[in-house]
Amino acid sequence: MMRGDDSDNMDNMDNMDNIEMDRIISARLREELAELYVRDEWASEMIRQMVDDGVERTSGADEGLGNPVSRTRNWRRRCQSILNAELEIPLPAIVTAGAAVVATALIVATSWQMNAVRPSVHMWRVSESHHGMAVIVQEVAIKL
Amino acid sequence: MGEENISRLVEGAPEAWGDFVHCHSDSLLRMAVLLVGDRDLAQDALQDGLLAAYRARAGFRGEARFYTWVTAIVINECRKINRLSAKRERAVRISAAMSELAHREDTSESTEFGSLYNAIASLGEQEREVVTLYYFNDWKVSSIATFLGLREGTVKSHLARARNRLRSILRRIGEGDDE
Repeated sequence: MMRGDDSDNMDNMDNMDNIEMDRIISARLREELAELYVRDEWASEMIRQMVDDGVERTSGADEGLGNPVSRTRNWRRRCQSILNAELEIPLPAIVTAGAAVVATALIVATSWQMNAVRPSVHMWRVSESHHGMAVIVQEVAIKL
Repeated sequence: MGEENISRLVEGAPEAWGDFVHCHSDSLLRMAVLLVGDRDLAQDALQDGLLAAYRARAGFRGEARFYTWVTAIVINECRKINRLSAKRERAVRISAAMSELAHREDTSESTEFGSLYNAIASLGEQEREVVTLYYFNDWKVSSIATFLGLREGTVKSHLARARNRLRSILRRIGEGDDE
């Protein structure tokens, strides 16, 4: 939006008065910085730190509780590391990790099923002598 | 900001400070980034400044707007941070911050994004403060002079030099748009 306004004015920039020049610089600067903002969770934690600090001071409990400013920095770094970790995980990595989890789950489930089948086979061997193949097939089907 | 809100801020009412932080922290952060040239350090300056303001709230005498008073405290925190870092380190941080700021999805934007920011961040501390307060915070020359302890003529000189420099940068941006 601003760029269009700016380019319209560029031709006359040399003749532009300082007030107009200042207006453009201010607007442009705000535009450049517009993406910088305080995240909600940071703001909330900042407010909590203030209130905690006030409570600690009014209760005289400063001693031994550490430096509130240091703790403030700690929370920001903690929040930021979490956010960075969230932001820096690329989608392919998430898909790959998800596929690995699913594959592992299938292998485990299959192994479990195989274990579940073996007793049936065992039962089959036991029961074969008593009931015959038809009973065995039915038991395996139920287990699977 | 109404008198009632200010009195609640001075009392330290959590809701009032919550509203204040939500309303003004973005603007204060952007100012701090201009002054220290680094997003993380700017956040530290903002947090330290707001905490310092909260602690010192009883000392607010109403000689300036409450927001202006807090702004001054955050600026002081930025100065402390700048004092702790060598000039060379600052240049490295500015470069890193610019890379971060330039990382946008729209590549046509990224080629010029941060041009003014970069120019301001490369100024000396006093000139940077003058330019930031004038162009970003909309302070009057007389207010800047009072706050920084300078003569108005000195502030105007800083602004004139900066304006010429920023004008040339804007002209380059304009030429880039024409291509």
